[in-house]
Amino acid sequence: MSEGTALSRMARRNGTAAERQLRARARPDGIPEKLPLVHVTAVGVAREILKSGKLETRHCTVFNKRLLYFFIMRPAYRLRGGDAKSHQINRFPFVFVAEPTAVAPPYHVYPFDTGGAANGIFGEHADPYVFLEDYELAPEHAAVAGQIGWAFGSLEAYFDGEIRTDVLHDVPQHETVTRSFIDITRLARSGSNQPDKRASAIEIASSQDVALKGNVKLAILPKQYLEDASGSNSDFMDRLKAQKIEWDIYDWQPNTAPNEFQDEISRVARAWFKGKGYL
Amino acid sequence: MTGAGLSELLLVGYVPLTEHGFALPCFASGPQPNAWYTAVCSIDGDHDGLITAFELFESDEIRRLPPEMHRRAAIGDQWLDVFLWDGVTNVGTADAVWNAVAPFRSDISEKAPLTLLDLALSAEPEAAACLAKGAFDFMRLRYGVEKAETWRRDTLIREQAVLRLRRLAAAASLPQRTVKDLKSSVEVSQTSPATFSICLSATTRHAFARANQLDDVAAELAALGELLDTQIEPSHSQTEGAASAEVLAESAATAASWSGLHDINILILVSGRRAREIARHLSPPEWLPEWLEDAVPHEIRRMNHGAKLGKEKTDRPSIDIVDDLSVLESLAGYAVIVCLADDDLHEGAEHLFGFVERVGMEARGVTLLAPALPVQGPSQALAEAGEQPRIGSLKFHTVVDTSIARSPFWSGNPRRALDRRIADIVVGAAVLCVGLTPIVQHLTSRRAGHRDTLMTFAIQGGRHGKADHSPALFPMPSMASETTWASRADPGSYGRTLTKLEFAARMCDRAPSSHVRGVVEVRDRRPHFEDFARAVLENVADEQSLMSQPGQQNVPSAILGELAYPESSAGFALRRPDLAGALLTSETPSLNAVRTAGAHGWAVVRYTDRETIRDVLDGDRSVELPLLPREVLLPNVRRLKGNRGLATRGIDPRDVVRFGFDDFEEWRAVDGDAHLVTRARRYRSSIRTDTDALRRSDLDCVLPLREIRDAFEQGDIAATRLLNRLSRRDPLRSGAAKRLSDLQNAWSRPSGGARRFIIDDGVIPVSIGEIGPNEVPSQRFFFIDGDSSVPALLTSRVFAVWARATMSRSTSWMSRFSVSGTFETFPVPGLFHLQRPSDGPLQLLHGKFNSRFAKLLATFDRDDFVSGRVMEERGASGHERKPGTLLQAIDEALLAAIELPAVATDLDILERLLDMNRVAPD
Repeated sequence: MSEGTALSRMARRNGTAAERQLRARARPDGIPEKLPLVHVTAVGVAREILKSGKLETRHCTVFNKRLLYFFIMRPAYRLRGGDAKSHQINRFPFVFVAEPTAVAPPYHVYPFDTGGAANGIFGEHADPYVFLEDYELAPEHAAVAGQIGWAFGSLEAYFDGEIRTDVLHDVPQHETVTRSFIDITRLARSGSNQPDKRASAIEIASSQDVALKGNVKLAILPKQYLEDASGSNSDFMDRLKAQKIEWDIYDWQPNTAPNEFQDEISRVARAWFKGKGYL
Repeated sequence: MTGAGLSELLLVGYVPLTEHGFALPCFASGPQPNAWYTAVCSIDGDHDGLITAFELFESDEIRRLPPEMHRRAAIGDQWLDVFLWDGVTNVGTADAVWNAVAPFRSDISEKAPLTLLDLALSAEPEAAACLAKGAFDFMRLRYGVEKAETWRRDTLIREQAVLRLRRLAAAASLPQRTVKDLKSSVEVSQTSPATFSICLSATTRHAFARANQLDDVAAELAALGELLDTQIEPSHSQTEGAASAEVLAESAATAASWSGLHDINILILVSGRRAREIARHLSPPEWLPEWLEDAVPHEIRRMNHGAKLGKEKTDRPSIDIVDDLSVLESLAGYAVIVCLADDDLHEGAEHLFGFVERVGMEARGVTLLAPALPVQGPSQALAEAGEQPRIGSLKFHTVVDTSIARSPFWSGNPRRALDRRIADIVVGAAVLCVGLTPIVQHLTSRRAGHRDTLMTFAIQGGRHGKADHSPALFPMPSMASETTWASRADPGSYGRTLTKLEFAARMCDRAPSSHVRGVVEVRDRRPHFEDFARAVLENVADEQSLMSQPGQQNVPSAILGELAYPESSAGFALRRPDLAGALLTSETPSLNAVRTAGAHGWAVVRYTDRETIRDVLDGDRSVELPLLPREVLLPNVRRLKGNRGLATRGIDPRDVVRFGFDDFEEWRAVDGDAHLVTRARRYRSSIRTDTDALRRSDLDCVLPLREIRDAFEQGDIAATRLLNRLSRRDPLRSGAAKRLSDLQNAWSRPSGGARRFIIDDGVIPVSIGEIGPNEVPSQRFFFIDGDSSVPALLTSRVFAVWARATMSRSTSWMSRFSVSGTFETFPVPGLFHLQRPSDGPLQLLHGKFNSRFAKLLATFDRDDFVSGRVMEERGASGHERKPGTLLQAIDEALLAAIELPAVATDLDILERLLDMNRVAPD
């Protein structure tokens, strides 16, 4: 996932073999293998997506490839950029929730937001001697369940970013990738000073565009989109209807802080997931 | 990254969400920026909030405002909105935008009703109910009933509840975490078509409870419901059970931590709404009894069959307080159980009987009933036990006389308000019954045959009294109450004292040797109000004013027929020709009682209304009949939406930093160009007429604390220099302002040429002055904006009658005006006009009146009323006018405006105003 200006970027491997310790930790523990995918964008982009009828891949500077990103179930997005600026996306968020089958198979699966990691937002929480590629999970949906089962124990805990309290008990000191990952996830916990839900949101990348129809099931949009002063919103809502996309709203106000939007959108998403039996 | 160091920017652009409604305002340091900022609001989503910071923002979608729409915005300023409609961009505060879009509101309500509702909720709350209905219909017609109801519940009501509770939490300086977590801790459910229930998370509820804010939470939610024309209330289980239990548990925890003991041996059961109000004030006792050997009565000694007597060292007990017995496995371990219960058996009877039944089965120690004394009348539980079902007839060892809290002879801490006094009595009675003390032996030995007894006690001098060991100390009036009275002349005249014990009360927070004397009695429960009323009269004035012994045999039956508790009243003949007599009551007299008494030449006065009693006893001053007492029972008085913002209380001293004129001048000499300097105001702490000499303190200056703090934190050099000058290193309290909106109003300047007047709180005749644009009033004042209508109306007899009747009264503090009770309820006569400017408080202005009144006001305007004319013309009572004076003419004009003759009595005026309040439009 592409991020803005970088601070202290996470180190990258240069052709050497990755140490994928997290893959060995996978433990599904009854977590469903396929889980809903969440794509967050800015409202202006969402209009274009509705017009085109598909979520399109875009060039990713981290992996130098056209990719489309989702998080598993979590409507996480950057509250501040790497330069601490707020941006269009966190001021005007718009959320699509898609079926897991929308991406088959994933291009890659990571246990956190790779764009944020590459741009250094996890800062000193990440072990400087662990490379980004070391964290990669198996590029399949099943890897998601394994990661959630091991690290969080339940979908509810994963949704809240609350990692298992005893997760470190059987992790030896020399298992530096696993330990570094656990350190990073602390940023996503609700008690963190600078909570960032991206720190433990499982990222799935697709190298293919995803058609809205049949794949996207829910849109979470500002309530003002329900109104119709110029006709453009009616058109927008008609397109949602035509694509058979359910919608729910959040209360957009110009003086609401980005983290407030995220909390509110999380609440709406949680209610929808509960209604669908995921939570 | 924030805009650290930036205190003021220019609003020069915006990013639209859609092509209509609110957009994201974008700020920059100048008209041609290379960096953009957004503002941070004091409370998320609050269009009435303040700008607290700026932070960097990057977007390709920023649109620029034309230069004529640029606005300066500083930290501390009210939030600025950008609002789009039909191709037109509007910029300003919510109020300004509301006014600007006035020509389009109908169009907006049709196409964007949710947006218009957002705007109205900040700018024109009176319109919210209508717009909310329109928005609901819009949602229903366009997206179906289910979506409409979900929007109303989860978006409209939930978000507004969060916003209001955040304001409340911020004003109460609750932790930032609590303010933030409100977003995720509020859940709304619909309990009926027009009723919504708000459930708070346990953590949030606990935070409000700790700050004693649960009542305010309920009030805020009720106000929101009123605004939206629906009913919104805290979750029933939270108000009646869990929440209050939590408050009580908190009290218990406090008590337990105080005790240092882990064994809980006092249990206080709380039943009923009034009881819960009182229970909030329960706290560890300030004294503990140490029983004196020679105080043990013989009968108790005889009846104890060898129980250990003598000096009983009482350990400090701990106290458990609950309103839900299911939380307790057993009651057997409690040495004392006190049931603090409402009088009314019609409400909550099942709850109370549940207590009584279980107490009867399980209690092993002393059981006490403490009636939750009603505010407006006597407690029936304290009256003599009779055939009617009363809580006083329930099976307890004795009933505690809580009515002594209202007595003018109260011996406890005089600074305590009524409910705190009652709480002190409850705890004091409990600690008197801890251990194998003489009073416990007495109570437990007589339980079977003497259930209708009353326990009362007094501590000499209370907490603040000096120890006095003189033998003549008891009996003393301290034992007197509306329920029981021991006459000094004939102690046995009212009934039997079953036992009386003296004890030494050791003050807990003083040196070990600090003791005062106390006495506790158990008596027959037999009221003797006549003796008590006479003692009250003697206490107010000397006996020469009285012509006869008290007694109600001469009171006209028609007057007694207007009382709810005629048995708790006493009539007196007086040495004055204009009054046939005065009837002292234990209840607040109704308007009907006042009028009926007046028709028979009598005055009816509650015994707590000492000012009116003085008027009655002062034979040198004539009284008008019917005599309207200060304490009078009013029907429910509505807060009129049109009056919202009419008066504002002066600034809370905790919200400002105050400093002397010399400091200000020296600071200004150095930092004169700083923005902070321009925000300083003169602190007005006296009415000060032109004839008064200027005091040194009249030159003091103030600045909002948060503005200094924010500027200091952003490295503002002027703020740093000011703090250094004042030698203040860590006095800048963090957290939100105590009374933010009052602070904002005080710093605003009246628009449209209006003036700002101040009146003293609780003073009648109204004491009024005018303040300048660079002055802010202290909190002893209320301020009102307008023209000469303000002094004309506020110094009028009409307003004085209303203000006196609606003042809040307290056992411990002077009577006070209140924004909600005095000003928002006052039906402003049609001669005046209330105008709500786009910024600043409501204004009271000349209406479209007749030319005669116009001339009167013009004369009033020309007169320099603050120079003393008003004071001079006003009589001692505040209502007497010299014939032919300007004030008398204005009074007559106002009376005519409310359709009353010039000879109308105060009661006529009050009744007329109550009628006007009742029918005033919403």
